[in-house]
Amino acid sequence: MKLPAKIKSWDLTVRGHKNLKNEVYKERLWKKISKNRTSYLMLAPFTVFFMVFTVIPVLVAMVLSFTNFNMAEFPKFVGLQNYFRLFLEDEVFIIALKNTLIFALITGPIGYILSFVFAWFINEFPSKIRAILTLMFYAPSLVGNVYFIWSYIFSGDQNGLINGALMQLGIVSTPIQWLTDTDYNLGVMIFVVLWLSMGQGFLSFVAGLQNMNKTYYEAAAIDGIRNRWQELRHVTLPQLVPQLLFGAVTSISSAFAVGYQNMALTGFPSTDYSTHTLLLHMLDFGTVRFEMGYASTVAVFLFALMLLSWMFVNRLLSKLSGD
Amino acid sequence: MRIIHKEGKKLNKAISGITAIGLICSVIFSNIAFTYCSADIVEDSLSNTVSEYSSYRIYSQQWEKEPTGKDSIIFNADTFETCEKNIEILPEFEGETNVIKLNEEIGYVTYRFSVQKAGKYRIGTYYYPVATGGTFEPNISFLIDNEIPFEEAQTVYLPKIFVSETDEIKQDKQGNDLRPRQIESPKWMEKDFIDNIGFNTDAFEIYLSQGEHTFTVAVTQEEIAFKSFKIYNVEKLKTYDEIKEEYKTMGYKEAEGEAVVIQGEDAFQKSHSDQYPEANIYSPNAAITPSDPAVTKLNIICGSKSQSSISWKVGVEESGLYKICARVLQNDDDKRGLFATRKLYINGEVPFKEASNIEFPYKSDWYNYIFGGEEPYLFYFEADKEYTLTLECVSGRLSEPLSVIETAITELNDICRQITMVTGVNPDLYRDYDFAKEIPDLFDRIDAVTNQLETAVSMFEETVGDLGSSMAEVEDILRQLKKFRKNPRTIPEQLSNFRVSVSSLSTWTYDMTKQWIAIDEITLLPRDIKMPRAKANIFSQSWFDIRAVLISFITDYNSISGAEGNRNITVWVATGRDQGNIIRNIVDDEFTPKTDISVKLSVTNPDNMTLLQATLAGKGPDVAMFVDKSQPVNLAARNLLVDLSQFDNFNEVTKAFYPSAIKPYEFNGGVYGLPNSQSFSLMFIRTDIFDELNISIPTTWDEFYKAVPFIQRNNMMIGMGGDNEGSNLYLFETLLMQKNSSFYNNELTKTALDTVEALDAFKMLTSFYTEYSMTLSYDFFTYFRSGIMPMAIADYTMYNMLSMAAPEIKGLWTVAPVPGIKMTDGTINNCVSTGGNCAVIFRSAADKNAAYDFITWWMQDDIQSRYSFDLESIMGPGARYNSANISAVNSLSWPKSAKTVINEQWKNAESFESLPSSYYISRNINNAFRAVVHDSENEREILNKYSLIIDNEITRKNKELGLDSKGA
Repeated sequence: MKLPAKIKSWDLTVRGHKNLKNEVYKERLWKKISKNRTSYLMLAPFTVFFMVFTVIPVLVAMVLSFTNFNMAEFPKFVGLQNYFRLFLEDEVFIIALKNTLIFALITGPIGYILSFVFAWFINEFPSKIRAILTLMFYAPSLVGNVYFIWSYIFSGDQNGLINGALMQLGIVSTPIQWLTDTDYNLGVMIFVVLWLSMGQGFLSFVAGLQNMNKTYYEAAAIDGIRNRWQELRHVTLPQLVPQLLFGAVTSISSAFAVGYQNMALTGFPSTDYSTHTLLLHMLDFGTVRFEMGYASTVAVFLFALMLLSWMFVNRLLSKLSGD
Repeated sequence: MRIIHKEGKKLNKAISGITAIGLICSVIFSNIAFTYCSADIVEDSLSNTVSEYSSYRIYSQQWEKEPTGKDSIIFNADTFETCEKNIEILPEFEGETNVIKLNEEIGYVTYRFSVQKAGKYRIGTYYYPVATGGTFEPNISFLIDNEIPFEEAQTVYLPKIFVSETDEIKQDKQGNDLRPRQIESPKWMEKDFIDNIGFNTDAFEIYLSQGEHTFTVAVTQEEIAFKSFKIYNVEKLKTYDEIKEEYKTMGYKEAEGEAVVIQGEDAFQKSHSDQYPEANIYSPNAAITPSDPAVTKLNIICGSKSQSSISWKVGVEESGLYKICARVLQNDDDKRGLFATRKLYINGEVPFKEASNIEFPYKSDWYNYIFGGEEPYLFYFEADKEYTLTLECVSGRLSEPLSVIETAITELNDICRQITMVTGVNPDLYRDYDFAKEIPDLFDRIDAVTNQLETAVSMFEETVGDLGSSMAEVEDILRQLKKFRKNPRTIPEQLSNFRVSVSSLSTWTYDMTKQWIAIDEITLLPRDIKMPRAKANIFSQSWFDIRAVLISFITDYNSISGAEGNRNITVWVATGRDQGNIIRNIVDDEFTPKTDISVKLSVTNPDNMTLLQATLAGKGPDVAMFVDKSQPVNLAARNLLVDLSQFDNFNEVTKAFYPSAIKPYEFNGGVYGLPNSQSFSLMFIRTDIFDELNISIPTTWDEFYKAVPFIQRNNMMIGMGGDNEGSNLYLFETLLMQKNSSFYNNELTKTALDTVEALDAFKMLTSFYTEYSMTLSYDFFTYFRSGIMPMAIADYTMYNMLSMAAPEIKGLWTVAPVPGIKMTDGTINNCVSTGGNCAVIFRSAADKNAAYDFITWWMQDDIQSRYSFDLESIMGPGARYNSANISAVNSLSWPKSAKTVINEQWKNAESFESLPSSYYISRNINNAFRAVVHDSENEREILNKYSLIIDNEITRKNKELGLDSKGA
């Protein structure tokens, strides 16, 4: 049975032929797919990898978060017990959440704004200097674990760079344990994470600023733009929304995924969990205590948190673009 | 392109790396680095020499004019006049009669002899280096007329003999050559006393006046049997020209037949165990014989240490004169623009003067070198006679300038100390110290030492020509000295920089005595034969490389395959590849043939996650070795491990260990791991500094506290482990044990940290840092070496590291047991905590008995000894293995005093139980420690707070794992 293609699906629904509608829909879908099979084929590798390495693990984690899984025996279903424990009993979780939010709220936005501001400044330079400066700012995130040099700079040894300098100047008399003393280590980590924040977002800003449509500036000048600030607000930013969005996503995900740097510099776990984040909390339960179920619960929570903040930022930026 | 993969080299690089970092640090932040760490005593230790005695160079200058002695006095070793302890004269030892055997414990023996004709004499001995299984060099020291004639007389080196265990090189299943073990093969030898570092190439010449003299000798390292001593001197060696004349008169002609090729790797004896057949990985070359793109071929032999030697056997079919040509690689970066030198012996004798300095120039690639260079030397070989060719590492023409620099270093250190005595430890940069008045001869001395160094530079220039960057260290010092001279006001400011420069100069000097060469083959060349190319041509090299790349795709590098048997087990070892290969060899030699069980060995890193995941996926091993001590209980609690105590002979097997080694693996009435290694701490002491401060080595904490102010008053530090999770816990455990307390209550359901003893221990731990302000963060090796930290608690395996990698403080340090608490009965409780790793068997293993046989076999005395020996003979003596097997550790060569201390401390080592929630203890003790040390919290409150947190976790974890109240 073949229906004319122009019959719309709601027609069928109205007539109550639900099955018919599905069949038609299916047929049309298959037709479309086979028509565009080249595109699907090209998408396939990514889709497969994305499913296998991202979607399925996320789903598995969601399922595991309701179980007690010790990595050796079959998971036992425990209902919401893990979630109760997470929100009601786990004191370290609160510290980790606090720190994660501190990183997200301080290093996320500041890093994001810094990326943009530096990109904007750099954009004014002649292209050769711009290339060099871009490389300089991007280098820290380009070179994998380069944050290790901070363990030398902030070394608790009396010959550590900062301690040595401070002692030489007579400001302190005994070396400060920058990385293990709870008075300092969170501050040090915020600083290091900011230093690392010139990542992909920064690069996309640099690229976006260079591809600006110059004619708009001229038009804006005629329309009465008076200064650089107005130019930035009304011309540059609206044009840059795709990049800003991309930058925001990477900046959020990196702000919430802060952890490995802390682990490398302040120890795992850090003194009194002072630089513990949700990611580290997850690792602690997963790899040290072998409580995969509970670790999955933390992961699901972190996932939800990231999703929410992304939605929030998305809304904020859509206002900027004016639609 | 060149890969550096020599053990000695690595060490050397590490040392210069450390120095370089120090240098950079001090250049950037002038004065920071060492401002806080010096008293005049430190000066002394920064130097590489003990300045009490003059060096041999000065000694020999003093007696330069004296004639060569004409007497030849031989006295038997058993004719001594006095001795320190009773010595047994062995009527018969290894084929010789009336022999004495000396070692560290026995002390010295003294002989009396009389000299007829005054003059300069050599001292030689006929000795036998007793095989101790050790890789330390035998050292002796000697006195003449009850005095040390010069500083070098304190460590005279007498070589051992090492040979490959088998002449044939064995192959593994894939056809890779397996490195043969190097074993000692001692015999009676003659040797003249000679400088062991290599600043002097010839034997010591000692001036003896006419009349009676005494000669005293003591063995300071290893064990040596002596037959006789000889005071004599030798004729000057003939020059090559004279030898050439001799050839003419004898009518020798150049041989015409075939070339005789000896492979470098076929050396039949060596002086050091780290000279073994190697595979050429230094500079790829398809022309090296033998070569194969697919498998490892041992095709070269290397050597670098001063006084080390390698010997080959050779014979010719046609009598006549031959040239000697070697295919070598000499691309040591330190010797860029310079040369490495060898002394050639034929049948134990240097044939002519020039042969004692065969120089191999620096080149980035392999090359053929004909001894003599442009005008090749000819050597006479008789047909059908066996000759021994020996190449010995010497400093050659570099030795003279190096010894000048070495003397200058002593002087430089002395100048440093003089200045520090005026300026104090922390010089005031804004004060004029008026050095000219305070140290009247300071500038004369600076001039003199500048002069000395300039002489050395010009000597180098004469020898080498263009210096390039090779003398950067000397020039650095010269620049600083000139600045001192020109503007004395900068001295206080420059002092710490200067000190670093001096110590890097002494490291450099030591490095320069090393003479690295790789030898592929040595050829005796008749007249008309040309050497084949030293380097493969571009086509064959490319073809070789392409095949090597292709084959790399199908080779499995992770598993090390071996002999096959009927039953199978899979073993994961958490070690490096070299260790993996050693284990493979031992398994193939001793396990599989006897038991018919084949072992599939994989080198992995079985940390907690990898092991769990692999087991979960059904891909796990049957046996995992070198698993960290916290793991077995965790795995056992999840029902993954086999309880070893249920095997029949388990109690027999465990007799090889101390109970403390097994305790961490006990859980729920079973034992889930068999210890592989065990580590514990000792106290490391710089005896030179202690002597100078006039304090004795503390045995109790009371004495320890008394010694602390003496050390700290002189701005030196004490290392108690510092602030990190492992060492905080370790020290706390140790103190708890000394107070007879524990972490847990008897039922292991709660912590026992609310006791008075625990609080005491905790207060003691934190007071090291709060009240005694000991350093929270330090680098033990560097600080101890430089004398900044004369007392520290560190792992006992550091003993080897220090004796191998810090030659400049040789004899200036010792080890002692960790301080303890004096008990009421007068004994001292100096328990220490121990750590380690172990072997476990997984429940999933199909053949559990085979797996058990394997791990019990592995932990046997002889197998553990062999593993430790092989490790040292292949990876160098720095790679000491801390086996948990008591007799294996004792079978290694330790200086006697160290061995006693180690055994004593080991007996007093203990271990707490492990719980699945142990991870929570270490992190919370650490938290508690830091709360007190950083935030000055009250110790009792903090300890209570954290013990409560730990208790909760123990309860929760036990519940989660379904354990009853008695966890372990």
